[in-house]
Amino acid sequence: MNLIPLLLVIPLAWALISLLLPRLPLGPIAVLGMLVQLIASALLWRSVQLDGAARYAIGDWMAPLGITLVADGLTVTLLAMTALIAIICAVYALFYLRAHPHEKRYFWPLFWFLLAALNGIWLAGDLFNLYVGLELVTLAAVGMVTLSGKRNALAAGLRYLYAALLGSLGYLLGVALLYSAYGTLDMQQLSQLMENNWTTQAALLLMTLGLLVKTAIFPLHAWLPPAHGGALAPVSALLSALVVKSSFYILARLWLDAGSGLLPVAGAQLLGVLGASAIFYGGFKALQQKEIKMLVAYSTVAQLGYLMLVFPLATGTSPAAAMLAWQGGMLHLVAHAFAKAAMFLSVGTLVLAVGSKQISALAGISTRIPLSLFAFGLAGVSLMGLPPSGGFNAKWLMLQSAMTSGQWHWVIVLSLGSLLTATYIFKVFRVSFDQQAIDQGKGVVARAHWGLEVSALLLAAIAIGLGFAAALPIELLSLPQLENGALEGVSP
Amino acid sequence: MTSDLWFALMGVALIALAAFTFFRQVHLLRRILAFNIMGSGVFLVMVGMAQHQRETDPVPQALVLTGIVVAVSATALALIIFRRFYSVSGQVELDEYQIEEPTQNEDHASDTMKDNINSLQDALQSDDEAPAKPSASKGDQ
Repeated sequence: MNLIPLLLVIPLAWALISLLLPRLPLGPIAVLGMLVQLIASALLWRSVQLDGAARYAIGDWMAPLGITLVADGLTVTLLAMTALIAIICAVYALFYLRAHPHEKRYFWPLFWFLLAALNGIWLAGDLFNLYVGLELVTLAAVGMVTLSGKRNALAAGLRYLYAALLGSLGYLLGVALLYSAYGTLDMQQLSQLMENNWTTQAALLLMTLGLLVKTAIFPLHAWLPPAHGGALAPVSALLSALVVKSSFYILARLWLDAGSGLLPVAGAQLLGVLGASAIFYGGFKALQQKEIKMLVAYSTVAQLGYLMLVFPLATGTSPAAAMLAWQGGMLHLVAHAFAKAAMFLSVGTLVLAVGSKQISALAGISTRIPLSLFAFGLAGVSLMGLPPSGGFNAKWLMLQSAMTSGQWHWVIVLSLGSLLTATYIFKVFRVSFDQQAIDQGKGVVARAHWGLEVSALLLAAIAIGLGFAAALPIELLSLPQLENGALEGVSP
Repeated sequence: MTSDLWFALMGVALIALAAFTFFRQVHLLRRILAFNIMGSGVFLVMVGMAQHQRETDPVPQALVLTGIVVAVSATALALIIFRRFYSVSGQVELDEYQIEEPTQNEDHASDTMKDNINSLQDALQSDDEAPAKPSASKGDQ
């Protein structure tokens, strides 16, 4: 049995069940479904590790008319990451949504549609399917942001939707130009056909602009903090960990895989400058926030900036440096996904426990709710890039790449960024370990359910664990590049 | 100049006009309309530019068809959120200051939060009972 279509069929089937039969206990059913999904992802991961990349044509229709799904090393890593994060978020939501019966009705169908769309993006082999996936992700994500139906949530959802729709039209226009020039949208075919001319550059520029909006890269990030900071905790976790990564994934595939060698060095450096600005701006804004969820949301803006550094590090440099940058960037994507999901989930528990979103309300809670604070701290360690953690390995690879290619300015950005991250993480700790407040017996209104605390801790533990087991995903990440030689075109 | 190229040029003109409106207008409904016109422009470019080999190519047609379905769903979602937003806030545009300060009415928000916490505590104390307190989460209206 072929596993690739199964990974789309499972979430779609569960989405329909959740939508049509709302009286069923949707939460436990979802966790069960996620378990099936996780097993399927693991099996596909194993088979790609053993046999290499696989392609699947839906209904045996070949490209360009049919839809081709591709599962290579990067795809299966992201599929496994998505399944793992989603199942833990589902467990968390199971407990968290007990207080939100109104939201629960629509959370589960949207959760499954989001998952189907994400899997569709990871597996897509052509540019138009990526467009459809992007739109489905947006629709599901906006629905999740507006779940509560309150004024601020609706405003944040609208802001998000308008930005995302504009972004997808830019992307679609680029797709139209590429099709008219080359007559195919299959990425593998395009990677051989694309020439460096005005049409290609204009198309790729339009697509890049659209994707930058969707990935919320500075200065196009304004929609992200209200949407991610205002949503329910499990929604924020899914959005920050997975949704913004999907558009970055397309961007990376576009420039470093399908269109390798087409990105001018100046353009790559510009993308890097955007990333660096995001790191510093997001970090400073995070430091200024008074609400804990907004701090974490701005931290996402900053962390997304690191992903953009892949482009200058992998363009116009030696194959070795490019490979290091690619591996470091993708590992950062995975490590940040786990760490940020853990952070949003633990923050959600903290907010529930103290009954306020304000950071000042966390004063003296370190002795009262240590488990959630520990999860927050572990996630913070990975975000700062302290060893041993997935974040450390990712930044280490990127640093090595920057040093190999002699781009010292990115070394400075990477180090200063980590320092800034540490500053805003410790801001939370300084408040929560406030000895005076502890002595006065402040903190904690409600006792948090153990299910909420353990699921956040599990995610944080995986983020740290990636520091020890990074070799496995990295080995798999480099598979498709070695086979297709996609990154070899990068060297000058 | 072939008719296909005309399609593409008209498409570009539509995109430019609609993009101008999208950025200039603050009324959310007008911006939804602008988005739809922009979408039509993109579809015209898609069909027009791909047909230059003088024979009908089915792929762009299929793509545009899918694109229309996506645009209709997105419009539907935008409209329903807009309607809800209008009925809750009475506004037809987003406030600019909200980018920096997402929660203006902090007292109100924390009240709802306390409601939520109370109902969560209820729910956690009685694990099997359904919490069934929709009023807690709809406290804003």
